[in-house]
Amino acid sequence: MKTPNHDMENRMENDLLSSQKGQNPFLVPDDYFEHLEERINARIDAAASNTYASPATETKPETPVVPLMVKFRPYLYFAAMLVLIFAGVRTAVNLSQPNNTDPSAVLVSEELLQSDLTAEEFLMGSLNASSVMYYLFEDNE
Amino acid sequence: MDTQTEHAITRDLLDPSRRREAFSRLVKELSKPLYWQIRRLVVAHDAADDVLQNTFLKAWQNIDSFRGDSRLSTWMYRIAINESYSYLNRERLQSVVDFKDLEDTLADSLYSDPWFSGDDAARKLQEAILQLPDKQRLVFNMRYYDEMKYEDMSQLLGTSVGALKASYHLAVKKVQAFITADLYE
Repeated sequence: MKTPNHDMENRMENDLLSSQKGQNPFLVPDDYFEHLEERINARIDAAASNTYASPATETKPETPVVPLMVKFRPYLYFAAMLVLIFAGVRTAVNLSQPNNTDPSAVLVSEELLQSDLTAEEFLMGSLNASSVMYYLFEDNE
Repeated sequence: MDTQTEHAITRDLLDPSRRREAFSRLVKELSKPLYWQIRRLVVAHDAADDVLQNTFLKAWQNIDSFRGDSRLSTWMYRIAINESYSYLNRERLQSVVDFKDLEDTLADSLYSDPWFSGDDAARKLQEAILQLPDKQRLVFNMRYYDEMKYEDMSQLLGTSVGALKASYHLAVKKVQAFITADLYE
C-alpha cells in the first residue's frame, strides 16, 4: 500500500527525471564538428600510408625471444601426463586381475632356483618309465 | 540521416571509385549522432573524440565487409557502441590496477570537466546513470535522451522489444532509487 510519503518521493523523483529530460549538460569545443572530417581523413591517410609503406621504410618487427624451457614446457607436460596415464592403467589392470598364477609353477621354479640342475635335467630327473606308461595308458583303462 | 541519402551513400561506398567521397558524406551525416551516443557512454569529451575517430577509421578499414544486409547507420552505430565498450573495458582494467572504481572516477570527473555545464541536479542524474551496467546505460540513454523507438533499438542492439522495455523500466527504477537515497542521506 502506497503511503503519502511514498507518493511524494515518487513525484520528486519523477520531477527530477522530467526536469532534466531533453537537456544536454555536455558541451563540445567550438568548431569541433567542423574540423572533425579533416582529422578523420588525416587518420585514414596515416593508416593507409602505414599499410602501404615501402619495404625499405618498413621496420621489421622484433622476433620475441622465447626461452627454451618455456617453448618445450607443453611437450614436457604432455610426456609427464602420458607416463602418469600409463602407470595408472597398469596399476588398475594389475589390481583388477585375479591371481591366477599356477602355484605348482612357482613351486617348480623355486625348486629349480634352489638346485643346481638345469630345467631339462630337472624334468628328465622327475620322470621314470612307470610314470610315462601310466600317462600313456591312463585313458584306455 | 534520411533513407534516400543513406541508400545513395551506401551505393557509392560499395563503388571503389566513389568510396572516398561517399565516406566524407557519411562522416558529415553521422558524426553528431554517433558522437553524442559515445559521449554519454564514455563521459569525457577527449575520450569521445578518440572513440569517434576510431569508429570511422574502423568503418573505413572494414568497408568491404559491409554487404548491405543491415542499414549503414545501424552498422555504424554498432561499431561506435563496440568501440565505446572497448574503451570502457580498457579503462576499467586500468582502474583495477589503480585500485579505483571507473564509475566513481567518471562521476568525479564531472566536477572538473570544462565540457560539462549541468547544474547539481544534472550532475546527480549523470552519477545515477553511471551506476547502471553498460548495456542498461545505453538503453536508458537511447530512450531518455534520444527518445529512440524500441523497434529501432531492437534492430540496433539485437535484443527483443520486450527485453528492452524491461531493461529501461529497471534502469529508471535504479536511477530513481539512487537519487532518492541521495536526497534522504
